[in-house]
Amino acid sequence: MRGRMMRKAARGALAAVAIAPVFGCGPSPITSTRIETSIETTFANLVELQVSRLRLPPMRASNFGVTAACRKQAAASNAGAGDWVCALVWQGPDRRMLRDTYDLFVTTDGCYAANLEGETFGGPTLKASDGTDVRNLLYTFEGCFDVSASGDEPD
Amino acid sequence: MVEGLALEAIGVSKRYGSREALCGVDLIVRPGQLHGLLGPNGAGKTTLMRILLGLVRRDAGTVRLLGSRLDSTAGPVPDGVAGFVETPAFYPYLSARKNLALLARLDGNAKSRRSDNVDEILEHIGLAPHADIAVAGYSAGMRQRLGLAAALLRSPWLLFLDEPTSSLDPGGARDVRALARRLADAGAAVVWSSHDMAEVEELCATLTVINRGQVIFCGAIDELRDLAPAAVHALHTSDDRAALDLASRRPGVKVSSDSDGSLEVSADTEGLDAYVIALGQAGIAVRALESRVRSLESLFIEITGHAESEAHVSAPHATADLAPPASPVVS
Amino acid sequence: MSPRGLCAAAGVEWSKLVAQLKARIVLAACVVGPFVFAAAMRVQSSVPSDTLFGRSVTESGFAVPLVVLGFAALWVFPVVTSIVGGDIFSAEDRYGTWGTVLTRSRTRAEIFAGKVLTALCFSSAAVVALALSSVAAGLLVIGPQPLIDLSGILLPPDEALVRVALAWASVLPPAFAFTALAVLASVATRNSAAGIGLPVVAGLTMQLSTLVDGPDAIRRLLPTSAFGAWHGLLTEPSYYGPTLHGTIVSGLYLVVCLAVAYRMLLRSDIGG
Repeated sequence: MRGRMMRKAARGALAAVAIAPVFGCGPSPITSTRIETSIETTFANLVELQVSRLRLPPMRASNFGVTAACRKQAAASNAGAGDWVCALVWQGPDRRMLRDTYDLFVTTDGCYAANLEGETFGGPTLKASDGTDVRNLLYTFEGCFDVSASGDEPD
Repeated sequence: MVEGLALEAIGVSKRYGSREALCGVDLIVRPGQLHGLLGPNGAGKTTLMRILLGLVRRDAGTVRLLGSRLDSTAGPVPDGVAGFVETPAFYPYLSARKNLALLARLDGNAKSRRSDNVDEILEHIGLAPHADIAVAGYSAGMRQRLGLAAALLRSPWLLFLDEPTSSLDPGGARDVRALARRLADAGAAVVWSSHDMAEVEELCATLTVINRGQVIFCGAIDELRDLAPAAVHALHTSDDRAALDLASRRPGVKVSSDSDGSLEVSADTEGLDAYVIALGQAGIAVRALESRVRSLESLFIEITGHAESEAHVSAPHATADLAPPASPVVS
Repeated sequence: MSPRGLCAAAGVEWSKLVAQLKARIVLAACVVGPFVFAAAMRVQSSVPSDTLFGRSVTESGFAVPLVVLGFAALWVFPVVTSIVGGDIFSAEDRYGTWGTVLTRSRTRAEIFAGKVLTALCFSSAAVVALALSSVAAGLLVIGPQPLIDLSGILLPPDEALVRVALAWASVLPPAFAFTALAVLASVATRNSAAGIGLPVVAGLTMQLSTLVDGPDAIRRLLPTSAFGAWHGLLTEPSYYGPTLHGTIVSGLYLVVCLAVAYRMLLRSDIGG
């Protein structure tokens, strides 16, 4: 009887260990790599959309070559939800290399709100070429990334 | 018509923690019988009824209702079995008609028949004028009638009734008793649990007496009377209170007040003689002493023990509409 | 348990439910609420900028149901799912009607299943009502403009509608999980205030715990994580991991809570 109970307990413990990674028993899935990948894509798409809304000559997101470098603010490890800052470097319409910095607040479910530091792209609203006011999509924007995916190396 | 036993409960036991609510209770009722279930408060009658209706799990024993084995509480109550325990309860925000319609639906009644059945039973039970009023506005007596209606919806061949007339006026109580008799005459078995001794004596030919979770008597009412060792006399004195006090100090003599203003004396001949002499010596005049057949109530008090019955004895004398001491019950 | 018995039991429960004012009030609020919100967005100058899609709420009607979804996940779903699930069993204790119901021709399993089915149907109805109403409110009050998703892509109206519908569909599993939690509380406590209150408090606590950057394992084991899984349906490319994971966790909560509740009901002594 005692032996059977011990075997049952051992099987249960093994099962728990095996499935633990599925339930995130490990380091935080919110890593700089995941944030950078997400913000690069989202930023590039928003620039393309913004150009279109401002009725400027169309440009493709892939032409901007956006790269991001993100770090967690005031923290020992570069992972986890909270305040982050991301420096974006990209190629503008006239092939100039542009640099912008965003403050991010990343939530535990992998979503973030990015707020532009300074007014590189203007304020909350911009004027289109036909004089209408449009929301500045690059002033503040949101994004989300998958925190359940495996295979990403945390920093 | 039912063949075989309507109710067969053998060795039913139930324990709540350290308290044994029922211990090895047997209850057998045949089709066409109106069977009384008696016992003082806390004897286990209600627990037994709940077990028989599948509301409470039994710890031991077997129960067959109309030949079907009752497997604890998981299964449904068999078709043809109906009843209620204590005050029947309904959804207060629905009318009587809607309550009964829902219960008929639970019973699997076809939609086409449901409404007619409900209307017929409401008419039969005297609730038709109030059928569309929310049950929240019903009196206790109306709820009791509705409980009976809910039971009758199942066209019962075995009917459990727990204090079915306790909230009814005398007319209503009479109607319910008449209904129970008709059902029994038609071949149904009716188990009638009551504290009202006179009612059971009038209505039931057989009964089971439970005390402290055990059956202490089961059989015909006449057999119960035969158990009484002592004759019963009606005594009228000049000072009943002093006579009662004197009797309490005499072993072998049991005296209690009766509803007709006399004293009921239970003692063998020797004891009775000594008591009458003592009354005279105490200055208490004996105005009349006549032999009387024992009432079921006094029999019940004797076999369940005087201590438990004191609270019960006081109740009948508080009301004015009790049946007089019994003549022999005609089974 | 027979299908006929289950249908009878569920039919009775649904009849009782629609006769109760609270069910109608909740469903009415689910229909009216989003219109009130959309109208407020139309007339006022500020937007709910701390909620996903909040900034887009005056630019595209498809943002309205997503903002409502975000708000509902935090406050509304635990309440709406508990208000019936947390009362449907304990109401019989409150009215003393267990003895009436269990002395009919239905097994306890059929009665249990009928009540659970009714509670789940009500939760579904509330979620669907909120979804349809918020979509209608967004389209009618704001308009069917394209929607900017969470990857900065502009979704045409037909694509946006599909994504919004899928987002709302994805919260049904956790809504069912909370319904099951409410059912368990209702059976275990035999008290409607606890049956409704405990899941609401549990839901709020779970949501608050996800705001804190604690162990990811804890967050993943909570059904509330599934309420935000729809974000992945509005990115490019879409990701479904959180939805799948949330559905599995919600399913586990549903099965375990209902199994425990069923066993409790089966073994309970009525009036004993």
